Amino acid sequence: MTEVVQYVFAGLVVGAIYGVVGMGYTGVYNVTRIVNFAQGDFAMIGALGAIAAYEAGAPLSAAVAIAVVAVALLGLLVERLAIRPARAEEGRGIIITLGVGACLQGLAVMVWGTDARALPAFSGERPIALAGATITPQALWVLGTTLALMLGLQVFFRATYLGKAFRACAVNPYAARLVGIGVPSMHVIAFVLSGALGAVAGIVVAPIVLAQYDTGIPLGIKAFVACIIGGLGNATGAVVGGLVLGVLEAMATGFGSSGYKNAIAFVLLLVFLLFRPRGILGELDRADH
Amino acid sequence: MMRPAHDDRTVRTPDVSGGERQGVVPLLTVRGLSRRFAGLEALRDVSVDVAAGEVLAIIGPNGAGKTTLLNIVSGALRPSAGSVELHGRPIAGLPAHRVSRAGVARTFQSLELFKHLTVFENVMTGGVAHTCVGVIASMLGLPAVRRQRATLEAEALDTLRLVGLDARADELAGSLPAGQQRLLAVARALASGGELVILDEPGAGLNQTEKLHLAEVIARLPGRGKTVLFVEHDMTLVGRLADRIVVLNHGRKIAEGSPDEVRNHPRVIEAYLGVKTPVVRATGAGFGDARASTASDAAVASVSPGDGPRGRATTGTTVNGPADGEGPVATRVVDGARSDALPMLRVTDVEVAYGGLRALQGVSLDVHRGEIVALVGANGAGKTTLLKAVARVAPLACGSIAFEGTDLARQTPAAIVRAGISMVPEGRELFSSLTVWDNLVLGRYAQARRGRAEIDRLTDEVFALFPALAARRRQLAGTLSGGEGQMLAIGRALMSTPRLLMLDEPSLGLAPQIVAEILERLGRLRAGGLTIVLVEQNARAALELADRGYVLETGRVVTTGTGAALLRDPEIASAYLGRAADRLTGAAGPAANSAGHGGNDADDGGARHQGATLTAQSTGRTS
Amino acid sequence: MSSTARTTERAALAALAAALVAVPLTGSAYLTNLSIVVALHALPAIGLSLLMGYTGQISIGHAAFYGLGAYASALFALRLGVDPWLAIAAAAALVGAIAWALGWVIFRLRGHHLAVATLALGIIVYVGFVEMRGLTGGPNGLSGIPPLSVPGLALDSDFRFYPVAWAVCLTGVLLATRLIDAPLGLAMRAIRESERGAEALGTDVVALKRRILVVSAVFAAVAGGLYAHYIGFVSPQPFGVGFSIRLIVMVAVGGFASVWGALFGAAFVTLIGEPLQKLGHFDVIAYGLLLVVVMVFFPQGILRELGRWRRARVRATAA
Repeated sequence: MTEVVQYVFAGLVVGAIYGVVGMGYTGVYNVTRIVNFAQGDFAMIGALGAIAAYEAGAPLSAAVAIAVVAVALLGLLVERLAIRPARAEEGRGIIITLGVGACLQGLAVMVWGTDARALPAFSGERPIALAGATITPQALWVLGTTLALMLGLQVFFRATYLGKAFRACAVNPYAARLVGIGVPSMHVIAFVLSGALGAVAGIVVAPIVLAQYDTGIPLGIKAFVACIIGGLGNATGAVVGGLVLGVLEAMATGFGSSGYKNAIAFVLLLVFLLFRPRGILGELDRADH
Repeated sequence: MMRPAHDDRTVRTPDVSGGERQGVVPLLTVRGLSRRFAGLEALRDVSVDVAAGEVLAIIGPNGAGKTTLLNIVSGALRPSAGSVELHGRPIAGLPAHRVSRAGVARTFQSLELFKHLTVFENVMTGGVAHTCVGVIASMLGLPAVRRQRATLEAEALDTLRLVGLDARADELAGSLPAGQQRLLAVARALASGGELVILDEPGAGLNQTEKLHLAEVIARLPGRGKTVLFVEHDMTLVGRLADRIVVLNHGRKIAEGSPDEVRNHPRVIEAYLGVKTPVVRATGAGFGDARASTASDAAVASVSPGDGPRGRATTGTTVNGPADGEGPVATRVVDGARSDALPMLRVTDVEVAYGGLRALQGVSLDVHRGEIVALVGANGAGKTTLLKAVARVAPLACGSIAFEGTDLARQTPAAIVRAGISMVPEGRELFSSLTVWDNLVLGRYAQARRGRAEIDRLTDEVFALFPALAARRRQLAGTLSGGEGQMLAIGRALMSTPRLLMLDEPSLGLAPQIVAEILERLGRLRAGGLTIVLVEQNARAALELADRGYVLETGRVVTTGTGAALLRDPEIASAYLGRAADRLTGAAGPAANSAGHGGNDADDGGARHQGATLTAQSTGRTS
Repeated sequence: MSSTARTTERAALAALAAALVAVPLTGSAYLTNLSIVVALHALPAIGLSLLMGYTGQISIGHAAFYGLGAYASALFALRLGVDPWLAIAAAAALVGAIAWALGWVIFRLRGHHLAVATLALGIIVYVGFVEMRGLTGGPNGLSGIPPLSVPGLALDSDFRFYPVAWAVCLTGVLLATRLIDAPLGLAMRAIRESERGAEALGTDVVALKRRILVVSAVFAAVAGGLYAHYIGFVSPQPFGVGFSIRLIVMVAVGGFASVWGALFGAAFVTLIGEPLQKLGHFDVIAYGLLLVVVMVFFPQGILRELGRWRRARVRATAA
């Protein structure tokens, strides 16, 4: 029984990461209708960037902050240089972001090589006993950060002017234009947000899972699966979907073979795409013109 | 194709004028057709018969269900109830490609052309489906492929000659001008071989010459064994082509008969021009009343010579309706209101074309401070496009728009809002998953002063105007009723403290009581000094409220005057219901030239619409 | 087609023929090998062009069909002792059947849903290659695959395999161009332009998508089978997402809707890949950059865009 609880904890932690990265997808998709396949690579660069800053001598918190800001700017660059010039609509947007992801991967190799690197745990490594199993402080950091981000985004979207304008853009871009909201600016904000969220996700899990140039793609894909499960366009859905996926993967690894763990995500994806494409919580309804 | 064993029935189709017709089994039988969309009943118990070889038009105001009907017949939609039979075979609910193979061809409002294929290729594609040669045979280049290509090429050439596009066969479909794209869509539908040809607004966005040509092409179709079912808003075009007309309103069939019968049918007129609204004037009415009282009661068809608002009316001549060419139109002025003051909004010779459609062709109008100006006219006349051009969400091809003296040419939509113009768009366009409060708050987005205090003050004003919203401030906008939603849309536009408020079809889908309430509020706003431009299909209600009005028809202004005078003008009905024009199919149209008009152009067969003015209609009289 | 276009086409064909003849004559095994790789990559690229370029359906998992063809053919030859030629044919038929079954299910999806589903399928197949050790040999794969042979001669060297590779590749080009030129090709392109429009003209859109999927899968599977009997062993590594993306790059470079373009793209990407291999893992960034640059600046493919620039410059100087 403790085994199961252990697996659940592990699954929740991984799943939370999927959820945070998934929230990045959500923002971009809602506003631009593009699925940003480079999302996972934002997480990877965030982690490697923080590690680099830390190893260069910056205190941990500063390293984290630098990395998050840097990747947020990277998001802006991607929107400006790759997405906007191509006037990308759905199909082309997907392919372009695939290319961007590959570029980022190559960039990571050029700068940091192919070795796996680690970030020190934020609060030490002594496991804490909980519900008959143990959980590391870093895992609590992950869960806590996820919760904080979810709440933070909720506050942003519901209580701030900019957040409301952002949601308006997602729901009805025509009316948003009429009211004077600058839709292109919202696109930029979406990508900046997606960069920042991705970076945070990558950084907070870096002490647990080593960061490497090629960890971006599988993370990005699974986070997208999380979005489909939970409902694309729905930030809470991304987290719910992530948690479901994480726990199922952990169970499969624990009770089955670790190799098939990867297949689970994709089988789930197909099942949802075919039978419930709107996900558990449903997609965001948007007025299309 | 095996037909089920039927006795040869003779079908009686009673029409509204009380006559009966006998015929053989109709080509298309629609019975009790209904369709719901999430609570909205788009079609209710509609039954229509289409006889082989006839040309049937389906007309009706916005939202009547016409396109839904076409979509169900062509297989693009499934009905909620009812049946559709082609040659006695049920086709309702079959996928679109099966319906096409059963003998139905259609065009779309949005054309759905294959833009990167040539004209010739577009038409050839029409025939590919029923000359089935499979993938393997095509890859191997078997002789069947050569035969298929030869057949398709010959048919395509023939069809292109029929519509007159053979000279442009090698051009890309996407590069054709609008009129020719419409013809191409018709040609492509013909190439698919269906006996029943369904055309969805074939004339949209075309000029008069193009429409004439299109009408000639369509008129030739019965001679080639085709039956035509089409939806159109241009009533003159309908009059030219249709043997019979079916009128839909709010999803139900309200009339059926020959063009003349339908044109004079009281329920049809009421459907288009609107019903008398229960509550009339707001207290504290301003300019509106003053001007109406100076209007001469006898000013029915007379023209004020010389100085209408823009000196546009030509002395002595009256020209009905749109010219058939591209030349400048002399607008009829019915008791023109004179004003020497600089207008708040001045629209000059504006042309707008988008998606290849020519939506506005040289429109000019003025709006003066403190008045309500109504823009009325049939669907497709260009009213919405004009508002969009002012709000800068539609590009100007030509002409200029000036607000308080400043040209609006290079402004962004946000700048327009800051300058003091706000639009309440057609269909409300709320942010449905945001709350009422959020929607209002966002209305202030473009303005610099949008702090908490300012927002509170403004929302209080909006809630004072629309108390129903106050209780619902935390409710999601998407869950509001139609009337509440419209109020919210207006409130949102008011949040940016505009000096000019533009409303596009606020009465759409609302009960008369609510419409009256909203119009009353508009009157209050005018009393408070706001200038309003009101686009309405419900001409009657709008003109009762407005100080002045403009009547648009197919992209041009054809009549202008005070609200009261326009209410009495019989030409309004023509703008919606057309005039009896020369028929292109069947018997020749009426040729008598009515004495009351000096001018006459090719469009006007002469017989004037039987004087169903907006005011006369209420008493059921036709003067 | 205009006469200048026809002349250019003739010139290009002549150049290709000359190159194809010249390569083995140089006696360089390296060049011959490279050329074979181009042929083996061109086939799936052409299939993908038919699916993505002409019929407009995104597929980010096409490497799976290639890999399935390779493994199936290897297994038929190794485990069942089937003659390699037959093994390839049987593998192609099997993969075609799989694609047909897939087609019933997958074309309910559109846009990004379809893209991700194809990506997922590609990854599932890859995981299968790695995990089903009993069948596939796991990460080490299968070795000892018999080479193709004609009576008396085993085609086990670059020079001997070369004509087979290009014969099959050019056959693929021929079949694909015949399909595009046939009226059915119009229906395919119509689907990409407007599914509603095509459907209203009587085309069973879903059925046609399914059939084209089968065709493109078979192209990839045949190439995979040839690969297996050429190299002599198969492992999961070449059949992952990276190859799927490289295929997309090839098609993009060629202009998506162009059979010859896909061939050009395969050559372009393979040739660029050579110097990039020395960069080791850096080749990823090059492919990514290439894809982005092509999508942004050469949406119609490199050749067509360059052709447009040339014509525009000619017009400008003539004016």
